[in-house]
Amino acid sequence: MRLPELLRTAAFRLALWQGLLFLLVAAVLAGIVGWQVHMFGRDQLRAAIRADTQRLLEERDEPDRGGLRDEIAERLRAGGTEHTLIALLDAHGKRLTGNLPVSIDLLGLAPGWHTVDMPHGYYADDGDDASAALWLQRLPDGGMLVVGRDRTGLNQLDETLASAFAIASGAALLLALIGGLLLGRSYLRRVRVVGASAQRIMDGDLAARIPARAQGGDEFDLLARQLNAMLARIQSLMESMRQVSNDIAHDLRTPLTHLRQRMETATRATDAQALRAALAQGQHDIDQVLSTFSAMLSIARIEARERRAGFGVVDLSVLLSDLAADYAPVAEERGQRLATRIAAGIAVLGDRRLLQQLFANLIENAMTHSPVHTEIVLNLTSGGERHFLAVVADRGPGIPAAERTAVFKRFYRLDRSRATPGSGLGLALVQAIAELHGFHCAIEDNAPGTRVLLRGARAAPAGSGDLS
Amino acid sequence: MRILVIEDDNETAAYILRGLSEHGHAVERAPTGRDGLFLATDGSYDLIVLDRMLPGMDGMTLLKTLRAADVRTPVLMLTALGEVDQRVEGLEAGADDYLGKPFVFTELLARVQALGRRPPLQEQVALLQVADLEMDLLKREVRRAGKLIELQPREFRLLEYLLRHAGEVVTRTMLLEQVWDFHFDPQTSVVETHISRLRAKIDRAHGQGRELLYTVRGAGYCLRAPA
Repeated sequence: MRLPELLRTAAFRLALWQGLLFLLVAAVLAGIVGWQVHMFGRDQLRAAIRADTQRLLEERDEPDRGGLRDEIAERLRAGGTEHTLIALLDAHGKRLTGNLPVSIDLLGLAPGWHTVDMPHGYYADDGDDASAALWLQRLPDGGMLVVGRDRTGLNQLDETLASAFAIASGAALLLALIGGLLLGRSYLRRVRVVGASAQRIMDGDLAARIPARAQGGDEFDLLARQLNAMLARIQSLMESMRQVSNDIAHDLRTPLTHLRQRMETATRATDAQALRAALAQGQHDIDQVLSTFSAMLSIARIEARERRAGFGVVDLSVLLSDLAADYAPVAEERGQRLATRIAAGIAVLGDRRLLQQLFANLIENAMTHSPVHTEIVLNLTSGGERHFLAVVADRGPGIPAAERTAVFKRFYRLDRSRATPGSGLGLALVQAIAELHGFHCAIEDNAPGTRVLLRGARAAPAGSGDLS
Repeated sequence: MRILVIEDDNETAAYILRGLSEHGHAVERAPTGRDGLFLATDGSYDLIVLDRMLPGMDGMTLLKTLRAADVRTPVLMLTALGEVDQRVEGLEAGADDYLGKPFVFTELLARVQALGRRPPLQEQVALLQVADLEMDLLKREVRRAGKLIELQPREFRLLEYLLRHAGEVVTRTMLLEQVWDFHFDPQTSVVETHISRLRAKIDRAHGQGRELLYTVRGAGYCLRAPA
């Protein structure tokens, strides 16, 4: 893993931001603590200076200037006053004695903590430059006693605190960087795994999946599982698409081959009648291809439709009664009988035209697969208060148990019905419409014959919604 | 009739133009939506045949623009492989009829003629009549030569449609759409069965051999007075 890549990871950036935030908090904290420590040090220094002053003045009951000068000189001579600064001035500001460097200009300073008022002495960061705190006290004779102490200790304390903070901050930031890099590397590694799987899939291995713990795990496992579920769905869709493409190709080959043969015959035809017959046959073949296309498109459109878009309350009882009335004469013409038992007042939420097509399909299927002198049954009953059950049953040859699910697939045709006309899309269309409505479609044995069952939820009939 | 055909595909346009001209119509063609809109708004046509998919401006937009501009010329819309949803959409946009491609020419011709003869305002008629066949829409009674004929509800609607289009050829698809409201192609002979039942009742039982309901080979059916 290259460094720039690591630096771009979200984990690294997050760690960096957290480090900076921590630094800000630490700086505020250090500022407060530093200020408190500094004030404490200053107060200590002032207390020491006051004590020094007190001691100098206490030595004498009568503090005259001469005695004080001698005392100071004696003290300075005795030593042990390296940290104490003393100066004695007469009423005119002339220095009488003391160890305060003469470079320090005391003229014009009023009594009190004047040194405190000297900004560079107290607040400027002078580094190693020695600075001092001075106390100026007016003497009864008009002179001035100046007592001070080295301020270096306080300065050093400030510096120590500052450098301690700097070191701690640097270390914290470094740790944040290292932590961020490590975290970024581990996240990047897991993202790489996902990316590698994606690449495998893009390269054509549709069965490839992202490694993930089946249960539990962290957010990456959760994401991987969801992506895997999505991949499985896409794969199944693609497989069914491939299947459909193959089926279309296969199903269209037959009529197109026929068409080609007929056109060949037509080109060789010697009389107009044979030509016309060949052309009429050709038209029939093309119509077959077109009707297959049309059915495919219908199924695709139904499947692509948003569920419940354009749905309304449909009185299924009325719809089926009308269909029964329309198809009963057709059955009769074919030597069959359409027997109906339709419960009244059963309504569903759906698309009326599609439902019409669904049931017409089932009825026509039953009719085309039934021998003469048999009965086709169309029943509608309520399966409890909330459901309905519609049954279309015939006495035809039936569908083998093993194929009862497969017949709903596109282009699926039982071996014996290959010779009969039909696109092999009828039940696929039924299934697509049923699925759109959330209905469940199943095939049972009618012993002998086929029973198609359609179950689904009922809706409150239109207009009677407020009665219940 | 003066007919405007708005169709971008040259071959389809030539097919429609040739066929309609052969049947005595004056046909003009616009190859793009814009040309079509210009001609449709400007000229006075009896009918417009409009392709749904057009370059420049699609048929649906053109139709809406036309209707918004208060042009009431009947429009027959054409589309690739008739889809129920698109059909509804087209009719809502103001089309008077809708035909899916590919179509048989007789189907187009029948619809063109049905649209062309449609009265500007659907008059409220109470009585429909062809020769001695009468339908009373208020009493919901049908008589042939004065004799009452019992009809099933669907047979009644079928006959009503045929009577309203008396003298015209109506196709099987037109009947499926208008009488049954079926928008799919049934695999069994629903229309044929009902037509033959209706024929048995109005022609054979009460017509004394004088036929009114004719089968037009390769096209459809026609209800008309015997020549």
